[in-house]
Amino acid sequence: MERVVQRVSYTALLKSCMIVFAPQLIITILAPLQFVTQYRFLILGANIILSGALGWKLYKHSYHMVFFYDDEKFTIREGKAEERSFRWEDFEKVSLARSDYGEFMVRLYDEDDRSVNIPVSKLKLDPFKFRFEVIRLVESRPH
Amino acid sequence: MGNEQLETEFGTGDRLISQLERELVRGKANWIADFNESFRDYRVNDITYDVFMRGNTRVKGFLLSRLFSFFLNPNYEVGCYMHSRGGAKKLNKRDARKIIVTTKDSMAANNMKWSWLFLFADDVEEDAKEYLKTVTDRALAVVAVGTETRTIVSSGNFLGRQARKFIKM
Repeated sequence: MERVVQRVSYTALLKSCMIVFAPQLIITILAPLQFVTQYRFLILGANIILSGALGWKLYKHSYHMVFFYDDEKFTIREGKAEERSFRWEDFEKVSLARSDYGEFMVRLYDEDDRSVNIPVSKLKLDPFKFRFEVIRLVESRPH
Repeated sequence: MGNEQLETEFGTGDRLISQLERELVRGKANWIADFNESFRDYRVNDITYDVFMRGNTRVKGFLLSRLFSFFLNPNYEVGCYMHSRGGAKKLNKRDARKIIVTTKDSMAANNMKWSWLFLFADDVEEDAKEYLKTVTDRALAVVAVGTETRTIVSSGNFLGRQARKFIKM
């Protein structure tokens, strides 16, 4: 049975909204003061609505993480990028790693020591429990 | 092999190992090293460690801390080994010595500057206690924990005295 894990990353969503908001803010600052002062609340409201809408689109296109897995394989997709699929049986070792920014990932190593990361913090999974589940999935496959 | 039993309170030793692993991988020892990767059931020759963690001495933080650390801190590879397997209820000198030798081999293979080694058993025998106190190798800190007798013995070096502070029973 395939399981799907996808959670909204509010940090990435906020970042996307800020990316859209920043140019609008610059335009507002550079606009004639008289015009801005007269329509300040309208401009602010429009900026916020536009930032929210386009920020959500940008987040879904570039940052939203989806993870599918079953007993045989797993697939990772970030935004609209190409999906990456792997089979549990291709890996030998499993570790729990933490990035410099404090995000956890379950790292799988194949026999040539090449690794693939499952970003458990971005998927909002319990890193310690999910690590054990991955160990179970890797060990249950024939090598 | 690692399974969900280790996450529940299967035994005091397993609970201590899980607790120690969580603290170290979350950066609790950042003042001495950044342990950022952890393996379960790590095998070296005929010794299987419950946990093997690796990291480095370049501490991470915000911008200024990173710059400071980058220019002033050396970037050594370091490790942390935790062992409770083998079935022996008591840790004796012979087993302790064998695990220490294997650990040193693993350190050399991984180019580690220094490591912590935590040994868990129901009790630590007197000969093991005396032996551990004579371990003064500056590159390896050994801490033996008797989970039933609530005994903690560390090697006679600075790293050993620092490592034992992470054991809370």
